[in-house]
Amino acid sequence: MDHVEFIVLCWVLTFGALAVYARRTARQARRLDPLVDPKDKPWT
Amino acid sequence: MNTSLRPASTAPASTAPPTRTPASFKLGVAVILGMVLLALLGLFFTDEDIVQGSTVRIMYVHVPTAWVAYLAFVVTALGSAAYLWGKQHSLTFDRVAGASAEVGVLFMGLTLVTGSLWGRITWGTYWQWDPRLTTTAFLFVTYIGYLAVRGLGGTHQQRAKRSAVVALLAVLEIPLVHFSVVLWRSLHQEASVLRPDGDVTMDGLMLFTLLFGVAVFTAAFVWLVLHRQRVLTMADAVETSGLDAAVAMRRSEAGGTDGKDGTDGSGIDGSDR
Amino acid sequence: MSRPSTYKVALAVAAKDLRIERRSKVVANQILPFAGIVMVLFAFALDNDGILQRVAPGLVWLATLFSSIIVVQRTFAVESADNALDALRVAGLPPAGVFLGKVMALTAQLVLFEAVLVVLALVLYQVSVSLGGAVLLVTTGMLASIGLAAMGALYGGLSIGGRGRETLLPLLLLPAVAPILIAATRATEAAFGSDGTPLREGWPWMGLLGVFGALFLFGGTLGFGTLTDE
Repeated sequence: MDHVEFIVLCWVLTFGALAVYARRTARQARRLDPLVDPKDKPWT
Repeated sequence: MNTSLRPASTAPASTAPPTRTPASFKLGVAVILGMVLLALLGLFFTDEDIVQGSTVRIMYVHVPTAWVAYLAFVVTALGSAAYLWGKQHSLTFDRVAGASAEVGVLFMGLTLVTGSLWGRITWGTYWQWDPRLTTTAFLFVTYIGYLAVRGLGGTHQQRAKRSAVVALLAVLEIPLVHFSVVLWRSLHQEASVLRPDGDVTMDGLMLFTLLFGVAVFTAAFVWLVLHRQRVLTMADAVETSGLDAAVAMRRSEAGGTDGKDGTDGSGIDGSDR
Repeated sequence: MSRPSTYKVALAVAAKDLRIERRSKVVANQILPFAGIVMVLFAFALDNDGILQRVAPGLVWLATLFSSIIVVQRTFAVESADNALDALRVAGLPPAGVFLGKVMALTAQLVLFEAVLVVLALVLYQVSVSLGGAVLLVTTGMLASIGLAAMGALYGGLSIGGRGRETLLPLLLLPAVAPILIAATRATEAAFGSDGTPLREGWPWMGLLGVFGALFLFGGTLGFGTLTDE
């Protein structure tokens, strides 16, 4: 496969960025959770 | 008296992520499995394109991210409209709009980067002033402006109102910008060879991989927005209860006991929302 | 007491703004010289008489756009000084009237502004304009100014109030008015005859400017109140 560096870069960036964003969101949730009254979480 | 935010419940913190539900967990698993399958298909099991060669493998991520970026834009616009014109002006719509915009910025950035890298191989340049790329760049900057407006402060309703109008203005602006750029570039009589997607005729496994990628990324979009929107709900709740605590403290300072008996003397328990 | 009509409110707001400018002369004495300096700096940066002549239309409109940010900030700064904008709201004045008044005042100031910049371009960049070109220029200036004023009034209303909001205005305004830049520059190229562009190629761009202006006059009339609701 030629241009393999470009291809790998694109895939790694894409998946990596999504993973980082998901982790960041989870971390925010964990930080906020103790402060939140359970009745403010309509999904639970 | 300690008026900082107290833990609202004394139950031990659960080990599961606080924004997870059984449904969202299943969705997340599906997304991850889908991504793995997509990678296998896109990088290994499909053949190279006759014209483009191996660079078509970039398309398998670039096209889905572009699609999701525009989808996010639409969701933000719909959420904003639902907030403004819904009878209850429900903040949930506002938070969905905000979450979608954040995820949209992410995907938009990825689209621009992967598109640029693809272009470097195919055309030899990192950028072309064609309408679709230029409009995508504008959409990116417009989103960033929208997110900045969301950060202006004030009450949650004020934030929702402001950003909803900004989002709807963007719905007017972006087509106009696109149309202007189309008119502008038509003056230069661009060679039709240089189309941003390379005009690939795909069939069989390649086409399936592309469409599968779009489906998986759409599911990923839904999953990310779901969680982010829940985090925003929690953040708003924390802000509101922090405000209640501050009000309670102010009232106790104005008159009543000094709080040494464990109450703030105002007779308000600070839990109304 | 009956509510004043939107139209009367608009006229009153516009008259007030223009009176303030006539007395303080901030646009004339500070922002216009700024634009002039920008035009001169372009010459330093581009360092080539031939290129300057060819890109003169673009330079004129770039200078206009960048200056319009300051003009918009100024027009809303006079409001936030004594929280005058809030006072207008509390008095029950229709926000659409305030918006339209701001647009009228901004349009007037921008048209005069652009006229000066065009004259500067004739002098500094050695472009020339025929009578037909002048008609096209006037039309372009008026239509573009209306669109610029509408966008500026909208986003300007959002960006007052301190707390780091002023820096938001360029970020919001400039991408939004890109169609104006494209259309006005192409029309001005035809008016100046840059690169041999014939005059008739400039007139179709008036359509784009007109649509833009109409769209955001309409959108602004509807949205200004909600946008600036504090």
